[in-house]
Amino acid sequence: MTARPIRESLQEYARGLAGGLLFSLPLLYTMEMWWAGHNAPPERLLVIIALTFVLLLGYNHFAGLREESDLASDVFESIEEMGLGLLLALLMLAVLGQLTADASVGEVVGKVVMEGMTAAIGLSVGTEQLGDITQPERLRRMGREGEIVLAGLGAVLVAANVAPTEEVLMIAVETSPWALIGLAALSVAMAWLLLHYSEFKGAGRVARTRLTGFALGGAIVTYAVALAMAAALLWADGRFDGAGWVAGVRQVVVLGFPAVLGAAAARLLLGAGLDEGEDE
Amino acid sequence: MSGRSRRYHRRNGVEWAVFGVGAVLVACVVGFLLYDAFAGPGGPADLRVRLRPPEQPGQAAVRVEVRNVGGRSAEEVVVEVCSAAKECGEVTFPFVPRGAMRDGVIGFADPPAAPLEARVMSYREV
Repeated sequence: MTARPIRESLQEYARGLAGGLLFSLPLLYTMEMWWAGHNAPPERLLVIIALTFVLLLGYNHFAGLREESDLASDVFESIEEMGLGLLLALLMLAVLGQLTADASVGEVVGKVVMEGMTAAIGLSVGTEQLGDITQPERLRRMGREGEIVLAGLGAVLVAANVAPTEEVLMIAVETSPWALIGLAALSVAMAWLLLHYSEFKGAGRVARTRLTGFALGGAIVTYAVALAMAAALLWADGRFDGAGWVAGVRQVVVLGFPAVLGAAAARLLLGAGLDEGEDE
Repeated sequence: MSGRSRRYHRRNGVEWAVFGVGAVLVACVVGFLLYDAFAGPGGPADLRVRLRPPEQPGQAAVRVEVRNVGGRSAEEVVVEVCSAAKECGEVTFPFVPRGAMRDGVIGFADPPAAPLEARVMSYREV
């Protein structure tokens, strides 16, 4: 039982920070995110923290490299990532001049939480993906729950950068219902295409990628996950406030497209290089 | 971190330090938010305007301070200040978040005649 060399840990943190920055940089430079941060009531920020924690736990659980990953180390890693994400957001917001002297504690906390949670997800994925570790046994453990967590994370990674923009609401209210139905159909089609592609990339993974028995089932489940994540992101950014339920649903469909791309491509984005060793 | 190979079963000092800092930070943030949620101000935005006396007598610029002591944030806050001679000026604040304070300056043509009167003309609640 030896401890890991310090050098190796530092390398991992560096990778994580790079990932956290790469993913959250567009959001750190988006004023709608700053506003969402200082306008969000504390209850909403608490729910955002809880949801992020669950997502991190899920990812650390299913992407962990050890055969039997235990809850304690998943929690340990999730808290590490969350803390680093908050620190990164604090530092970046300060450097970008968004933490002014007259800001109240609540304002600073709101902004740092809003930006820090996306940074934490980036950190988590960055540590994993920017590394050179390829562990074939990882995906083998991943059952249906793992697929869903991975899809959810992919959806957040892609859609989080689009969610706070004014354009989502603009498209949502100005587009005809038929165009939106078309967008939804296109979303399912893209999900199917991407899932299909990721299936024949790793030839033996057919059974696992398919979440249900029939061919379109996986695409529909993936789209459902994407819509759920799109709704959560819009809610976190306060885009449902006073929007009414029709505009709300329309926004979910509009954001559902980038979300479904992330969700369906999650295997390609987050599982790249891990296809070898599949033996079904 | 999720990417770490778990060949090592013991964590080193750096990892414990990062975890410690992270845990304290997360605990502080969650603690503050819980306190704010249960004991913080509730209800609609509540804007209080305060005029700061000019630093030197005879100054034509009036400094306006607006504080939001309510439970919700206010957007596009317009504050009007009028002098006793009914000369008025206004200043707009893009955002006054809950619990926050912002300040601005209104310039009068001449040093305004006291007493000055300030009022919030309009704002949007978010």
